[in-house]
Amino acid sequence: MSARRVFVLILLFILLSVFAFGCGAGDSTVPDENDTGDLPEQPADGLTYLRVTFSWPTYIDPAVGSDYSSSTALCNIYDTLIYPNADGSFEPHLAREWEVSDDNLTYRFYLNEGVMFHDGSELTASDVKFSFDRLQAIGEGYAYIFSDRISAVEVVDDYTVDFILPQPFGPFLTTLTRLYIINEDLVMANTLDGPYGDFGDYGKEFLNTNGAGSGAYKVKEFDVATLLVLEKYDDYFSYIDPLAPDVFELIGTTEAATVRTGMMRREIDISDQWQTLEAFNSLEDIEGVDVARWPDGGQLYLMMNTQKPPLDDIHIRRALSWAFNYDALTQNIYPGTAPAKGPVSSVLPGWNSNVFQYSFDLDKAAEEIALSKYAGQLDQYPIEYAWTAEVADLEKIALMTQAEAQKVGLNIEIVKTPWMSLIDQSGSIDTTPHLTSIWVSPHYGEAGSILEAKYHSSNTGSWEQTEWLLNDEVDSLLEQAMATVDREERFALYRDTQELIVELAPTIFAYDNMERHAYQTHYINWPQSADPIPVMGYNFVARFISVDPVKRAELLGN
Amino acid sequence: MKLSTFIARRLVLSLGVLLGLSILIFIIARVVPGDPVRLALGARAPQDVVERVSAEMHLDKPYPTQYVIWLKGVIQGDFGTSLYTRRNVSEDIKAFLPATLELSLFAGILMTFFGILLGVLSVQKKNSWVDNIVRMISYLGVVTPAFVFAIIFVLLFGYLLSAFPVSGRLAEGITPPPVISGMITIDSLITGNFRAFFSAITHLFLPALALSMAGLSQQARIARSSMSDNLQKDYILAHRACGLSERKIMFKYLLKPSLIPTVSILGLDFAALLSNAFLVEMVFNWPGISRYGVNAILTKDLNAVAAVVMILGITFVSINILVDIIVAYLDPRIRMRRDRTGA
Repeated sequence: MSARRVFVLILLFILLSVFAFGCGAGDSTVPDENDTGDLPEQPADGLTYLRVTFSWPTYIDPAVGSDYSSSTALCNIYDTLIYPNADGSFEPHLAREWEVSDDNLTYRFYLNEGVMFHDGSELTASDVKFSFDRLQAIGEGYAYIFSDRISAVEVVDDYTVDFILPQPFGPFLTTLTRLYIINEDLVMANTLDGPYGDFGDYGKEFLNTNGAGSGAYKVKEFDVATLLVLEKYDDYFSYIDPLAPDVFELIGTTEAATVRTGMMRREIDISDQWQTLEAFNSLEDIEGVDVARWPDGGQLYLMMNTQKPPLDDIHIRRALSWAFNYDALTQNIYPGTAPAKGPVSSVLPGWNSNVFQYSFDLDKAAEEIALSKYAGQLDQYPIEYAWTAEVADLEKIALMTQAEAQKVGLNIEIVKTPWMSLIDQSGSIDTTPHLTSIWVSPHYGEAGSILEAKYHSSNTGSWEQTEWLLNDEVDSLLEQAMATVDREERFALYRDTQELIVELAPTIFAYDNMERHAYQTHYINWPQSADPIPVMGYNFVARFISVDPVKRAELLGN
Repeated sequence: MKLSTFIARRLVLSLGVLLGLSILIFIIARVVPGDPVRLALGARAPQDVVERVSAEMHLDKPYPTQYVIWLKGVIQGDFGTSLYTRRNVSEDIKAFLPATLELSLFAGILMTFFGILLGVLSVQKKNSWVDNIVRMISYLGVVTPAFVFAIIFVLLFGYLLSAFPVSGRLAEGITPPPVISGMITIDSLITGNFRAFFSAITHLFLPALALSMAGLSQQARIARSSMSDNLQKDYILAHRACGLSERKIMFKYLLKPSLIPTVSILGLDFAALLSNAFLVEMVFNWPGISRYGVNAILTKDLNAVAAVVMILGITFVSINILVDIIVAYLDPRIRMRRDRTGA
């Protein structure tokens, strides 16, 4: 037989195999040891799975990750001293109790005994100190929350640890939901040469693909480009739902066709939030699938560069705020959402429910323009509106704003700007466009998180604050709030800050962002979707989510 | 000129091409706006941390110095650290390249086999309904981007028919074979893990088919055109006059010379598979180097972008050399011409 014929025969064999296994498996979906095709895919190991799609990348090092999927992974692999609740309060977790010194500068935490890391060693106060020191030394991820807020962490004994603050920091306890406790011994046993002196690389390379936590799930497999597989940790110290999934997979795709097919075949249990409105409607049509919606604590802000003419005039900023069609946005572009009320999302503790909110009123816009020093010469002051090129919906908003503003004589020039360029432009007043539309979310569950990031002068120059407000009164109020330990007093200062900011009109507060996820309601019980926690990632803590394999099998016709 | 001299000359020229490519991609990656470190670390990362990481990556040095440092590393197999995966780019390439090679290889097999098969079929049934259908498929295949096929296949074979898996490389619960080549199909065959092999093949089929459609269609058209031309030549008439069967003429005397243009294009198509794979990898959640490259571009991951482009460049150049050798083998006149001209 000639080589060519052998080659052709091998090819035919492969192709026939594909067709045989591909088409044959369509007849049955029962998991079968001998069924190698597994179509639709069924776990062949008898375990229950929770598969959720996310945008990528995901970082599982607590000193590196801070985006959505990373936060979700961290909340499952690691534990924190306290745990956040849906109402913005918190409860003991690794710390069974704590006490605060009279000067509010020392917080003493008493740890639960017998909490075991995934490698079987016990979590102690030394691990808490190590976790904090490591986070600060590396300086990435959520480190910025604690920078200059905590001067030292000191071990009192194995189960007692002190946090020393240089000055009172009101939201301190809330921010601890971002301090993940890692296994010091395991990390130090896996360090390489690096820039951190005696600590080498501080275990960065090891923790890039491995876990060192005590959380309800441990890392089973991590393909850094596409997939993180976590498996249930049976010796977890706290509550795990009896039907919590054995395996929790974070899948790095947001591709609509893949998500829809996966949801239909019950191979994906919860979708990412980045699907389009049409895609969510289509997912909702699948039997047993519904869309969960909740405000995520973030907002779409149309930020106005308050240092550039004509937006350096408060009347022009107010005119733009009146000329923005809030209802068209929330009804046509983002149906199911509501206009924002002030600079803080209504779900964040510390939100001011009485703050003034602009509405769409072109007459009032015209009145404000008449009061402006630029009245009658606005044609000489075009307003550059940069919309992020990667998000198509933002162009619709830009066009809508341009059309309405034109009716009152405001001349808006729309510029499609890549995200990376926008980040660069945000670095200085001169390069920052007049108007930018960007979503910003809080990193811990309090109004102060968003207010400080968006309006305190120390945070100018980042894409989160292209207003360049640079207002001493706002700074002072925020600093007072941050230094106030009493929650109610602090929240009162937050409310005052919000009123002042609305008065200054540096931003058009477009709408409270609504997070959406399609999920398999027939066999997934997802309590956090009904009572969401306003801290990114915590709504995907899998130990509270239950997966019913029998009901899943029903949907698959088994 | 001896074939070995010819290959050596091509290799030297290729090195020049790759050096030029490295300079080009190094400059392009850096003139794109946006601070890659700031982008990677986030808006709220302290400035001193951004500066430290920039210094670690030598981004604080002048461009020529950066290039020299980078090139030295590349020669030693060190592409630097990826800001996207936070590990050495060489490790990333080792992890992701086999998946793309496997996908491209399988797509290449489909492209070659079905492309030539359809071309032959079209010539055999020239101007019949079979020919018309093949031509229609060919036109559609050439003008339709691979990602459109990918989405159609996902919806058709995954969503409506539930006939094939649409994501990943292996079914859940199936233990992957130990890594030998990184290509699951090959590794599972080597280790005798047939369960993994068949699962991998079923996972490969749709993305490979989507990826192969453009090349397959082009091959079919070129094979048909080339065979049609040769069919009119005197030597075919002579074979017919000698009473040889049509089947024998078709496969023994017509196919081989007609394959020369097909093989020339095949090489480029193979190389194009690698660069066209990115959207297919996105749709099928395939953990390959093309998808990695796209993410690297989106996050301005300088080292990863440069590495992926260099890998693709090396592949392109290598395949071109290989094609030249195969064409020289298929067409003795080309070898003879070289001998005469010394070219």
